Amino acid sequence: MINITLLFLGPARDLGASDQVRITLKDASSIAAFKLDLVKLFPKVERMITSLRFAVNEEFCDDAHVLRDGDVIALIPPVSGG
Amino acid sequence: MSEGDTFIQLFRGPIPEDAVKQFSLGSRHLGGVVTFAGIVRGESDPQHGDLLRLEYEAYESMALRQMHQLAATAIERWQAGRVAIVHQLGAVQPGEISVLIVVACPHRAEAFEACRWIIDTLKKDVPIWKKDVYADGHVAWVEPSPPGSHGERD
Repeated sequence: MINITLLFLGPARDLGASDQVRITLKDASSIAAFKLDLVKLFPKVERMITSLRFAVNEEFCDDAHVLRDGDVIALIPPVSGG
Repeated sequence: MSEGDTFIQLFRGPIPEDAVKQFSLGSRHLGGVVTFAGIVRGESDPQHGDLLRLEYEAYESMALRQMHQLAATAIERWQAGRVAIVHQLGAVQPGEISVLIVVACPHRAEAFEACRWIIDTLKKDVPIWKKDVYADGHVAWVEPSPPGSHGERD
C-alpha cells in the first residue's frame, strides 16, 4: 500500500472534499490508472479530467509516471498567470 | 557552468519595480536589458459591468520552482546575466502590474528572445490562476485561450 497526498488547486479546488486529501492506494499505480480511482472518489473531477495536468512532487508528469509512497500529487487545471 | 543572477519572487502586494530595475542594471558586460510588464486591463463586460480586479493564486512552491527553471534556461540558452521574474498574487487592480520580467544579456537580440520565451512559457506552464471580479459581484476563473487566437484574453 502507498500513501499519497492530493492537492486540489485554483479552479480545481471545489472538485475535492478539501484542498488537501490523503489517500491510500492498494499498490503503486500509474497516473493513468490513478485517474480512474480519482474519478470514482471525486466524481466532480470527471468534468475537468481532460483539461487537468498532473504534477507529482512539483513536476509535471505524464500518464505513464508511476506513483510512489509519500508522493504529493497536484491537479493542475489550465493555468492563467501573467 | 553558466553564470547568472536571478530575482525570482511571488508578491502579495505591489511589485517593487525599482528593486527589480536596480537588480537588472549595473553590469558592464550586459548591453541589452529587456523588460516585459504585464498590466491588468480595465475591461468591461456587457452583463457584469466593469472589471474591479483580478485575484491571483498559485501553487506557490511549484510556481517558484518553475520560475527558477525558466531563469536557468534563459541563462543557459541565451547567456542571460540577470533574470528577474516576479508575479503578484492576491488582488490586482486594472492598471497595476501583475507580472514583471527583466532579462539582461550581452546583446539585445538574445535579451528580446529570452524575455519573450519566459513570458510565453510562464503563461503556459507556471501554476498560477486568476479570477475576474466584476462590479456586480460576478466572480469567475479565467479560462485561458490558446496564445494568438482571436479573443485571447490573458
